[in-house]
Amino acid sequence: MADATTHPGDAPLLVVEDLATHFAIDAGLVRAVDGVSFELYPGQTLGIVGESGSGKTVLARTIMRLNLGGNVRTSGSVRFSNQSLLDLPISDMTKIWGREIAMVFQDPMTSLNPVVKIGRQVTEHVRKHFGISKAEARNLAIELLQSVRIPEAEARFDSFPHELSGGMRQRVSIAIALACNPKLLFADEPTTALDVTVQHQILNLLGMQQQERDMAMVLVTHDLGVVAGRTDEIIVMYAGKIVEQATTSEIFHRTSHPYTEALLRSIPKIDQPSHTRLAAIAGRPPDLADSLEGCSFSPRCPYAQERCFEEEPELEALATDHLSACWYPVGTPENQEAWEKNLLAGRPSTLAIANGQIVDDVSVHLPSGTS
Amino acid sequence: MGKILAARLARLVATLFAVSLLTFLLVEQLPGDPVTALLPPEALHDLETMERIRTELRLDDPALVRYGRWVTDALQGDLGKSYITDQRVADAIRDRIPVTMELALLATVIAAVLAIPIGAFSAYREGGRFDRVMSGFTTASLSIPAFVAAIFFIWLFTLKFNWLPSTGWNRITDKGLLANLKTAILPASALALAPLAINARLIRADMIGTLKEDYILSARAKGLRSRYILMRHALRPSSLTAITIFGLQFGALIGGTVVIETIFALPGLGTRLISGIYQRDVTMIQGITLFVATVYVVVNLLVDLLYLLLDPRIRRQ
Ligand SMILES: Nc1ncnc2c1ncn2[C@@H]1O[C@H](COP(=O)(O)OP(=O)(O)O)[C@@H](O)[C@H]1O
Ligand code: SF4
Ligand SMILES: [Mg+2]
Repeated sequence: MADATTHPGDAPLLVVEDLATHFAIDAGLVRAVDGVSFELYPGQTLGIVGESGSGKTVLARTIMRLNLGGNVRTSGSVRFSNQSLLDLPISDMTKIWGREIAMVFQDPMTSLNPVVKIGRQVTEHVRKHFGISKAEARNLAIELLQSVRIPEAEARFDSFPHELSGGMRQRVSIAIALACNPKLLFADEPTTALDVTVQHQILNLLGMQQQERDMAMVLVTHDLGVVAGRTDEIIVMYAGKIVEQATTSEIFHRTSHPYTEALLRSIPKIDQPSHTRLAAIAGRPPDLADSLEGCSFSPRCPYAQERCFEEEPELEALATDHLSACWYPVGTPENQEAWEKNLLAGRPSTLAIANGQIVDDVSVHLPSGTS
Repeated sequence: MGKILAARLARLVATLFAVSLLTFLLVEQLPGDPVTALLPPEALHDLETMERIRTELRLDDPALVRYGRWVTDALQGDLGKSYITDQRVADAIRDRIPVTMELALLATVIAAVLAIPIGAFSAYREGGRFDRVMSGFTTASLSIPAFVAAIFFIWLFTLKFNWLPSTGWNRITDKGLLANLKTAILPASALALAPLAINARLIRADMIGTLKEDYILSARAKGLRSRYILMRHALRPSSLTAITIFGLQFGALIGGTVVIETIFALPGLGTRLISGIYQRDVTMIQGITLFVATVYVVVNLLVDLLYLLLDPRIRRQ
């Protein structure tokens, strides 16, 4: 799957242009999302990947116009089905929410109301949007619960969320999101809170439903392993910005950005015992309230050179459908040179990888640049 | 569930035991012969009566034995009789309780019904104009004693507008509901003021917390309207806490109407208790105290059970 990103015949469903979301806090301005642009075509799946705190949730919620608090400033534009979402009054958004754009949240333990029966939670918005009767809603709810593979759907109609397991609850959340047949589904870390075995079932379910309904999907995750083979295109975010954007196979086979490479290194391996420590990325994401000069990944990057600390790289096209923001992209001779220079200079983040302190068994992506 | 129930019942029995013992010891603690405590001063020279009472009450028995007898009688609905008015205490209570009960109930309902929308809307627009006005109102209500509010109400609704009577009580059974409410509404409102303020604040605080929950955001993301989210998704979890508080307030009001009943000259339990105190009518004081305490702990228990019944998270366990 996933070689062609552009559909010349189709108009894009979602066009995000230079979107920025900043929070004014006492310590300064948090640039949670900072100049993000992308397009999404009907029926396509986009992965948004990045460590925790890179701005994925804020990006998704900004696009959906879900309340982010009083101290927020948003700029840029979001076009969805030729409506400019950021300019719509909230009363119009309530007609789009749930019906045209839906969201599955991260934690099914908290995103369902504990004191409202599941049947009502699955259908209340369908009743509001389409004005169907109570009896119709009940049938629909049971149908939906069956379609997300909830056993004894009929009995579940009158259950409360705490009577279901985490995986089952997330299925309920998916049923809620699918109930109105939306054109676009945001799934914000839909499996992060779940057991590994359940994760795959939920992801498969999402993929199946998406194809069946020809719905576009944005799959947000901190784990590149989750989007592998499930998305058409991937956006890698770091510190509120896109650092690499390409088709899924390009991201995996022609990784360009050192941050993407580091994320690939930290994918949990299915064949590893679950207690194996995952390869972490040395250091932490930057504090978004400080404005950093140069490349935001430079403090942690094994290839960082002088230029990286001074000038910020722009997102540039390496090939059609492959954008990357790096002065020394992985796989180039310049990258190889930078690596050797840093090794000689004994740069800690470089040595850590070279000495295998950071587990590195993704052989295709050896940082030596020989692949 | 069964276990919780048993624990609550055990606690109820223990509380009632402590309360009854303390109430009983009231008499024991009074200086001198218990008979002198039981009789009005003018009867004290009448040695014959005193002797009769001493044998009638078997006052020469040890205190614990007499306590046991008192409690056993009380369990059968016999709280003894007043040696001042010769009235049976149980009759006095039966006669007076409807007024007090109605006042407490009415006040609880007023406090609850007004507090829910006030608290909910204040929380929904936290820091907005409505929220600030209501915050001023609740602060004022909490710092003004009920009797001052009562006097203000009398001045406003009786003296100035002459809409409502300032004293007296129309029984529903005699004069009908409307006439009854006319006499009940002012005292009940004065009683309701403080609980109303407390409820509004609690519901507001609780709702502010609830509105930050993920499930509120997911309800918004479904395109539900704000009012629906507020009523269906936000108020519901808060209402569990609220119902508990309403119940506790009702229980507390049963014993808390004394001052208001006195100001409005109402024939309730509170005024009977006060007259009992003035007359040093010890059996009456003991009986009413025990009764009010019992109602209070029983209401508390019922509230606990109601909470268990309403919260699906507990109910199914
Ligand atoms: N209301 C807010 N006020 C200030 N900072 C916020 C707010 N919401 C999110 N942030 C910050 O924005 C950044 C991005 O957060 P988020 O989008 O949740 O990251 P992710 O979903 O990628 O883990 C974080 O640094 C977070 O602290
Ligand atoms: S090589 Fe330089 S520009 Fe590229 S990611 Fe590393 S620090 Fe940033
Ligand atoms: Mg997130």
